Amino acid sequence: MAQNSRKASAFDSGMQRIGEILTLLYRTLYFSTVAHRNLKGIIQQMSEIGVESVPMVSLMAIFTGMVMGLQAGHELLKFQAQEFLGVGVAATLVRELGPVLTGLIVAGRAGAAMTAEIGTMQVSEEVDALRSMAIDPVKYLVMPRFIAAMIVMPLLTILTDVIGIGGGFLIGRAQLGVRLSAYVGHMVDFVTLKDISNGIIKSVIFGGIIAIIGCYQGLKTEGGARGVGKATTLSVVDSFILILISDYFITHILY
Amino acid sequence: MESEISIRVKKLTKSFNGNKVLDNLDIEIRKGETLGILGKSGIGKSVFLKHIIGLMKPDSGEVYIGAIDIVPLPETEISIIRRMLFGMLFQTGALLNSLSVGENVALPLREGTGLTDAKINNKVKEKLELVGLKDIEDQMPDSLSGGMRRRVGLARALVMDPKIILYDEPTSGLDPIIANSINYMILEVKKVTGATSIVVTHDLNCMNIIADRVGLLYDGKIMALDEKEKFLNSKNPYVQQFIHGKIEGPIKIG
Repeated sequence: MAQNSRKASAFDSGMQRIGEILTLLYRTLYFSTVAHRNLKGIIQQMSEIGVESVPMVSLMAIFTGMVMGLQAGHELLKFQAQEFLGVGVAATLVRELGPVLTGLIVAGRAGAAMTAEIGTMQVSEEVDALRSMAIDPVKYLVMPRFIAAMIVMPLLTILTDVIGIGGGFLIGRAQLGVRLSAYVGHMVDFVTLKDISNGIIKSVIFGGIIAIIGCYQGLKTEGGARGVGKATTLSVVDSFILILISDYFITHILY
Repeated sequence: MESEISIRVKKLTKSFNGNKVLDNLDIEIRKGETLGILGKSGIGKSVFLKHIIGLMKPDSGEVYIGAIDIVPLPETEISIIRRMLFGMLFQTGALLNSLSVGENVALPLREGTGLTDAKINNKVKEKLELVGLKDIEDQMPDSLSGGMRRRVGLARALVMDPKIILYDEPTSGLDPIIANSINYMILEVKKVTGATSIVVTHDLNCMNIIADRVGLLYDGKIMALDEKEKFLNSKNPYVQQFIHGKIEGPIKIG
């Protein structure tokens, strides 16, 4: 009996959380219509979410590309098809790994930072202070982060794709003797514009997820420094899960 | 006019995790007065203030600002009332750390009005001077002392020329000299603005200097409420225990 009611309340609080997240998304979209009035805030967030993620994303991309070159290259070598390495690396990166890995890195870096910052503001009454001054925290804090994340995520994803493809070529060239013309030539033949645009669409959606979850957990923070730590962990975990689940469904819809 | 009621709270009840913090609380605040609410730490003084400005929704009860009960209003409408009437000084100032002092004070004007930069800057200067600060617009909140943070917080609360000012523990954590300077600053603000003020505190000295009437909050209710002199001389056992800091008495410790 007690167990049943515990299950029911866990279900209820889960549903309540989804409801709250959707409400936050709706209100953020509503305030996005006046985004042009806070360009300064958006640009600042683009710098924090985007520019500062570049080193980490680049590092991840080059090694991902290199390990793919290594793995795929040796398989292709068995069939004397190493010329097609470029296709394998590019298709995997552009369609899947680029947006997903970039999303996970940005969630871990920028999403966590959003939660920690807004969560600290929440527990130190700064969010209440905003409301007391008739400033909507969703408009002032969430909207700029949301817009900025959706702009920088595709840019970072393109960066991942390009660097990753470069990393693949480095290994192909050094270990398998693949020529640049063949690597790029086959790639251009096989990777379609649709692959690229679908990857970009995914990355925009992941950007939105990271910002909404990061801000939601921040605004929900209670209980001092410990609460901030807890919220930050939850933010990263929830973003990861949502990125991975939504990746499947977006792929399903787009292809 | 003197006795015109500005704020009326009726049967205000609020629980957190089954713990009743406000329990059918009734109180009336007169226009232009400074009402002090005393109470021991953690008794719900801040919760009470946050209900007056609509930052929290009660479980039941009514909060009339003038003739309007703000409890059933949606956030957007409460927000309009806040912009027109309210200013609040939070416990440690609650300045936004990412903005300079000047940007903090200017924030309500930038977000809520269409004033030009020049007008905003003038207004920021004027309010900072009212709280005794000069030429600190470019400093960051991190570099300010506790007393300065309160002053800047108050300047920010005053920048929209509020009719009602709420003070949450304005002197807590400050040394007696700085605390007193804040007390006299609150008096000065009162003189200049004529605003209705509510101050919650456990600092008796603060209460002595600034309040016209004093109430004691305990067990979710206002246990005593009177003109300051009468309050301090009252035979009420709760009041006597609180103002003399007695360990024995009706107020439980812990």
